[in-house]
Amino acid sequence: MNKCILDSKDKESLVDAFLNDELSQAQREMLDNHLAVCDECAHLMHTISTFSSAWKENSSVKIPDQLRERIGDRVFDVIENTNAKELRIARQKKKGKSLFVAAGFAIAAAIAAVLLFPYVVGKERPDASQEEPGPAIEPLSRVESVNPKEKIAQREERPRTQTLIESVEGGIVVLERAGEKAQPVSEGQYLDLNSTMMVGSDATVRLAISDFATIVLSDSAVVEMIDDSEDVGLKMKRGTAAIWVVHDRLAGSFKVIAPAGEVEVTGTVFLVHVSSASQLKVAVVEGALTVRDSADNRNVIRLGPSEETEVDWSDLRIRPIDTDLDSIIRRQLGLVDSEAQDFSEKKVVFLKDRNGRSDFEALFAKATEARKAGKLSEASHIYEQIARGSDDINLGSEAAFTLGQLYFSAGDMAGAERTLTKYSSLIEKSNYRAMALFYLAKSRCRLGKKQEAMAAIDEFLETSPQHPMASAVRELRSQCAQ
Amino acid sequence: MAENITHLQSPLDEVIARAVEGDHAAFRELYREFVDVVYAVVYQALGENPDVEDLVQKIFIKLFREFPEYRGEKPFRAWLKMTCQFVLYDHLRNRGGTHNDKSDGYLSEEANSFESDSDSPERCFVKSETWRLAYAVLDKLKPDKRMALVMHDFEGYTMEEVAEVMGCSKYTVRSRLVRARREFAEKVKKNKALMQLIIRSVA
Repeated sequence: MNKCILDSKDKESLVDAFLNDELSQAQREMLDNHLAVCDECAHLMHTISTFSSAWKENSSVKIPDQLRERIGDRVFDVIENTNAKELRIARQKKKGKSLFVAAGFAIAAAIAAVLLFPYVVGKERPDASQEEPGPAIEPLSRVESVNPKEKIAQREERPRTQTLIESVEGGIVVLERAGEKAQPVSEGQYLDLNSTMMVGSDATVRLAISDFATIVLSDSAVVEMIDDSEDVGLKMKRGTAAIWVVHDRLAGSFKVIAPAGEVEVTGTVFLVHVSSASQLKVAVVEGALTVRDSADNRNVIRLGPSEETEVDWSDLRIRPIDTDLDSIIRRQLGLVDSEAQDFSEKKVVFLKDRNGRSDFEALFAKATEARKAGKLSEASHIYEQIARGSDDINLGSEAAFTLGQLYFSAGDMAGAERTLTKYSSLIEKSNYRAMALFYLAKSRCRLGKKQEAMAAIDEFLETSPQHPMASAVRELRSQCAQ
Repeated sequence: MAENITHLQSPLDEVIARAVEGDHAAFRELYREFVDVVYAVVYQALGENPDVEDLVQKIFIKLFREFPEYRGEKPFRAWLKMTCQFVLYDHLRNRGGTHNDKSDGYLSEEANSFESDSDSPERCFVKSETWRLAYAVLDKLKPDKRMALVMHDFEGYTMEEVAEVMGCSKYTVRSRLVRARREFAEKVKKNKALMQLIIRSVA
């Protein structure tokens, strides 16, 4: 047998380049010459080419008539039955819902709305100069009404790959594993990573990912779980997901991958509604989200608690959502960049008209920029300045909380504890109270101040027993008690 | 929904548009029209295999559920075939291990698929047996390699399309192809019966 005269790398690239249809005429001649003397390459070429042509010749197979009928019957049976079941449940729900139940549902939704979206009922937004909110996420109240906070506390430690279906309510939820027929799921079942979950139009399903996240799916959601060495999260084709993440217990990032881009959580509570292949809406209840479009452009959406916005992927590249105060003011005033002449004056008037906190608000934006740029020392200095000087409780408490969080993330537990203790009276009047207590307890715990940590834990559980972080705090208590 | 779909011109396109909107009668029409296409793709990918029937059924159920996502970006037939490839890839990855154990070396006495009118019985037998042994060789490839080889080299899909189905980059597909080709050719070479049949079938 003739041996290949080319080294293995060249041999591979030349034969493969031919099969990939990437050879120039000169290279083709070179390959022909080589094939004439190399049995190995000739066999490779001959085998692949022979099967390739034979495959194409053999492609006009027709399904036997009996099989055609049999498969058709089963396909339509499944389709008709699935829809009939869903419709029947929907009808029963509508019929059976008494006025009393309906009123109860409305009250529950209203309470949830007040808790999560205070500005809806007239309370001032924490940061009124932020991005103009898009249309509300319609199914929000339904998702809120099945808030899973109590369930988190009862959760056992499990490997993170095991996603438990904690509950299925109001309709059919189907799990489709690759290579298997779709099956309805029930409470207590585990969701495999290789499976797709399809939530019926009236159904709501609650998932528990180990001990760090809870997801509520509704609105005909279609999702797959993601869990590889780097990422954990959801791949969402459509529908709505309300997500609670205990961020510091998650080793990597939590991602929601929609058809046109990604949402990566840096906060703890948020909602995602995938409405089409190019659009989704997010509502941040706590913290902030990083949004990445398909071109890998990155934007941070920093909404105050209880604000929501719409992310239009096609628009994102043209008009990034930013936190730059000047841009926000320009947009609010309807100015374009070129109108810079008397902008400073307009800015002062605008901010004074709003609430007279122009200096501190501008400082906050500066601190955020510094933090993003990694200038932590400068950022912490400014946050402290705002926390000390601002009369605005929302702004001051946010600065104090952010400062504490900044120390905590930098591993400076003493700094975190000092800050959160120092500004506790300011923070306790704000929406950051629970989270501040959480960080305070954790930092004290890590400093070995168990008794003080327990005090913060008790205060947390007493004041916010239904908070999404309550389970994490209860676990922290058991750790501290040991 | 239908107004969002581009490229809709023929009567069949109207049926597709109605099916996308959830019209069951239209979906039945599409089933009749395209069941041969789906069957051919699945049959060709797996050969004589008891899973073919289940997979064809699964693809149509998946199709019904995913229809709202079809926007007419590519012709329906091409979109449908890609859907088949997604299901096939999942199937190959999940069934695990080799599928056909009675593969090596000997001609099967059961092979009798004389379906082609133009071929002589002997030629049909040779063809049928060649494919049976070829599928046995394909069954020994890992799903990633098999999918890359079949989709790209045999079916003629682009690297980008293969990458889309396999959820990886086209560079990964490229390197999988290099290994898959060599592994396939080597296994064919070791299978003397298959080699003889290939020689006879092309003779």
